[in-house]
Amino acid sequence: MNTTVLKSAARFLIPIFMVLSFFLLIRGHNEPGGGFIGGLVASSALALYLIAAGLEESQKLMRIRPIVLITAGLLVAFLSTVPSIITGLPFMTAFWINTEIPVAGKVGTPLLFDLGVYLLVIGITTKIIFNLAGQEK
Amino acid sequence: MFLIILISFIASASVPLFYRIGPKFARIVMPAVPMIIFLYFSSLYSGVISGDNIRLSIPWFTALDVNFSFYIDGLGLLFSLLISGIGFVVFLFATGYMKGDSLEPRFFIYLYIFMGAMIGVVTADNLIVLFLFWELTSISSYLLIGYYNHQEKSRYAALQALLVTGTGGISLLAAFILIYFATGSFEFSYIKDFGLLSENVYYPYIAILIILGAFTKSAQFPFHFWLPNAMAAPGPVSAYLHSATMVKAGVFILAKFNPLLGGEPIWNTTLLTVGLTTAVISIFLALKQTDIKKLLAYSTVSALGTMVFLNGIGSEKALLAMVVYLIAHALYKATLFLVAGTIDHETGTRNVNRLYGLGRHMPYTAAAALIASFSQIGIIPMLGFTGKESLLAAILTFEGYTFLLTVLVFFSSAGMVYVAINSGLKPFWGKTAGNAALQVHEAPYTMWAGPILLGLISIFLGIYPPLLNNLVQAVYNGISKDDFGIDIYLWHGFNAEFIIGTLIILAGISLYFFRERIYSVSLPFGVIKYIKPSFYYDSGLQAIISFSKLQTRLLQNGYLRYYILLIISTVLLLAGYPVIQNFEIAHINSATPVTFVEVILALLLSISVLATIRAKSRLAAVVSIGVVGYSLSLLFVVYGAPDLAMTQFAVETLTVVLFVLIIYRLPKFLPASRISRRLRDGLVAGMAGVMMTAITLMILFYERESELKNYFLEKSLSEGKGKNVVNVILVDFRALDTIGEITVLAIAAIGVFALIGLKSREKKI
Amino acid sequence: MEIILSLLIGILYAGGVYLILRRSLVKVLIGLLLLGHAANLLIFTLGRLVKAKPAFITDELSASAVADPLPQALILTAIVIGFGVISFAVVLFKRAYDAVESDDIDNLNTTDSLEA
Repeated sequence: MNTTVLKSAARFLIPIFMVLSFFLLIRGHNEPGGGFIGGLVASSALALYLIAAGLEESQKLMRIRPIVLITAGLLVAFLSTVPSIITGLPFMTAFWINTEIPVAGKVGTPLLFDLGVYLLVIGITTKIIFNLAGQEK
Repeated sequence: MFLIILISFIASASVPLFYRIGPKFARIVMPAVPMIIFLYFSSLYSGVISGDNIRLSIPWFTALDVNFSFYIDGLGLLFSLLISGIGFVVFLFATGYMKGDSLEPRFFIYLYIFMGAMIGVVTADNLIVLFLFWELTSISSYLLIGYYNHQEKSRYAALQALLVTGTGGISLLAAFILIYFATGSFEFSYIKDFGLLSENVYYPYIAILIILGAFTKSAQFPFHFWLPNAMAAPGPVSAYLHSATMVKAGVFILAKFNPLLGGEPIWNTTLLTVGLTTAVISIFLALKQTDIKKLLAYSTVSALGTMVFLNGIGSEKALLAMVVYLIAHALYKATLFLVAGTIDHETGTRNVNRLYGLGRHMPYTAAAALIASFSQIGIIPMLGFTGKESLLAAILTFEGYTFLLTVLVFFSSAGMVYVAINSGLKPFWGKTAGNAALQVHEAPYTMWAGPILLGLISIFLGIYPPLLNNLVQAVYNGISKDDFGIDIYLWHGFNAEFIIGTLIILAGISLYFFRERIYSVSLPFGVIKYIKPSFYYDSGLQAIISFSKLQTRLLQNGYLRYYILLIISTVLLLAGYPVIQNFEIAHINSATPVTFVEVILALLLSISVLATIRAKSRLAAVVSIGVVGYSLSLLFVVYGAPDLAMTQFAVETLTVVLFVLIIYRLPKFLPASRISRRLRDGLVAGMAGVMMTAITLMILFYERESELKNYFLEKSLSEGKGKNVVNVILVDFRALDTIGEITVLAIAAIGVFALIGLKSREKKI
Repeated sequence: MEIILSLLIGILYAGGVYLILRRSLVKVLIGLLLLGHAANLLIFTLGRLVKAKPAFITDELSASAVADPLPQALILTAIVIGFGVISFAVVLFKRAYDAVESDDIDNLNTTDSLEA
């Protein structure tokens, strides 16, 4: 499946997918979207690129190793619970910053949590898919 | 006090540490622990005898009324003192006995666990806690009996003891739960205020179950067979568990529940008859034994039977006799077992016919044995004498069958005398000439100091029994409803008890002289073989094993799809029946109108499912499963779930990629199964589908208005600060679920990583 | 439409059950996937159907006209978890296949032969 057309199309599509996925992530609180969906869209983009350009190219494109993403995702998600632990409120009580930001609306720990989910989902899917692709050789 | 109960377990965990410091150090430190416990309980003495019973409770599962609560009354104190006091002697003895054994530390670990558990049993107030400790004694007894685990006999005996006493433990638990139903509490000190439970509907069951638990533990007929087999254990274990403490736990339970359950024929008659039967039959069996430990074991069973039937008689004198007899027996029988252990250790044989003339070589051991056997025989002024006097006094004042009872007790007591002579005196008697064990010498002091100590206590209490008055009074108050002033003293004059007691001793001596005759008589023993309960134990166990083999062959034949088929068929049968029963087509009145798009989607879905099933190649199957997923996500779009649709879409894409990556290069499917098998599976699958449809329809046409829905719709913006309610639920209201979810995902990724990492490592090798 | 959906659920379940009773491990995997879909659709349908009105807070909100968000959140979680499970199962299958060179489940019921 290593065709030039697919390859260049994929290379062209990747940034668009990435921007789209991030967009889905941050607006998820008010419109369709969210961490899961954003992460899955980004991973599908990477999966597409993998099929088009092969494993090594995709890994080069990723720059970060998936396992790092998984760890970072879990950390960020748990980080979002820290304020509630410190203040002694029920676990995972949300905290918000009061200024509005364009597109995302209000920013607070739930968004941070969503970001963690997003990173983790990308990490896991790429981990699995890359590993399997590595097996084939 | 909590610490005192814990200390044995702490000590158990520290045994390796002791040995790390040095075996010598360990052997000095270890007996100190029971000593500490003994001193602690002694300090409670004056409080308890003046009626200040101690209670302590730490909440555990308060909703179930299960707490770590402990309660020390006279009975508990007596047992605690016996357990820790004899425990001290046994530990001391064991440091000599086990010295140099390859698994020496392990032995002490088990022994500590046992001691802690036993202390727990006798001090627990909460019945569930009592049960836990009770089971722990069974388990530690299992470990100790099976200590010589290279011997088939030990393993068999250990398992037998565990199964028999474990069964009793379960029935005890059942009894406790019924008591909870009857009284609403697991706390014994609270239950006790209810008084007799005989009016309660559960009474007969409670009584029977408690009796069953006590009988298995205290080796009463027909469960007596495990105790002689348990003699496969090392000497100190036999002395400690199987004569002085653990087997008395059954007697303890019966005494403890006497004020609650006593006074009814179902309780008293059962105890009386079974106790008496045990006392007589086991002494009968003891007559033919030549193994010194088995001899002692059967006489222990007999003594336990005596205590049980005294409890069954239930009069003041009988209960008094039970307590005195119990103390006396614990003191002399532990000594005799320890002496037997010493003999075994020093000469290498336990056959009484080959043992004589040891007295000259091991004078201290012989002295201890002498005192103990005199106590068992009941020679004045030993405590055993007072025990036997009070036993006879209880029998003679019992109304009904007095003569029969006296005759039976006469026989069993004479047997006890015989056992005492044969096991405690004979080995030390006579000349050493021609003795195979000529080279024997005295055991180290650790092994005779304890037995002598116990012997001295026995004489001391025997000469001046009023010392026991206060303690026995406290025990008595706890186990009886009637008031009775206890006054124990040594000399009652030349009354009937004394005369009968003397006759018993004479009868026992003559039994001893006719022992050759007894060995050669075989007829009655042949009969007993046929009513041997251990035979039923063995065949019952065998039956259970063959049954489980059969059901394993039938149900778990190693083919995954049979398991699945079985599970699904069971579900179909169990859930299908009520569905058929309750399904009413009249409920159905469709709500949402059908549109063209949906029909197309539904058709697409059905066709692709069919295509998946029928697919001949893997790729075709993967493609059609993809279509199923995409159609589903379109359905989600139609019904107001854009988030779902997007997720489903993305996941489906990734799944297809995954399958393609893996399956792309694999060969074609296996040839299809036989048509009959496919028909059968199809039938089951079809029924499963029909049932699910029916269930869905049944649920759907009940009106449902979710409160949660309104809650989330109202609070989403005000508290979750978001307009997308689904996402707010995910990251705010139910964010903990999501944390769990991403953790699961991370674990799945680690699993994948491990599986593939395994592969690459293998390749390197 | 509910009736049609109920029938669809039945079809999905039947297909899933049929496939996990096959000998081929790939088919069993696909059967698992189908069962996952079936369960999701079941929960979704039981949350009651409301056409084309997603659960977003708008100015003129009326609860009865909006889809129930809770089942949706549950299913969203289920879909993603399902993906995790399937990917793990696929990798497991791959490993098993490499070890025994077969995707026939009947070849997997003796543990000893894996040694070689």
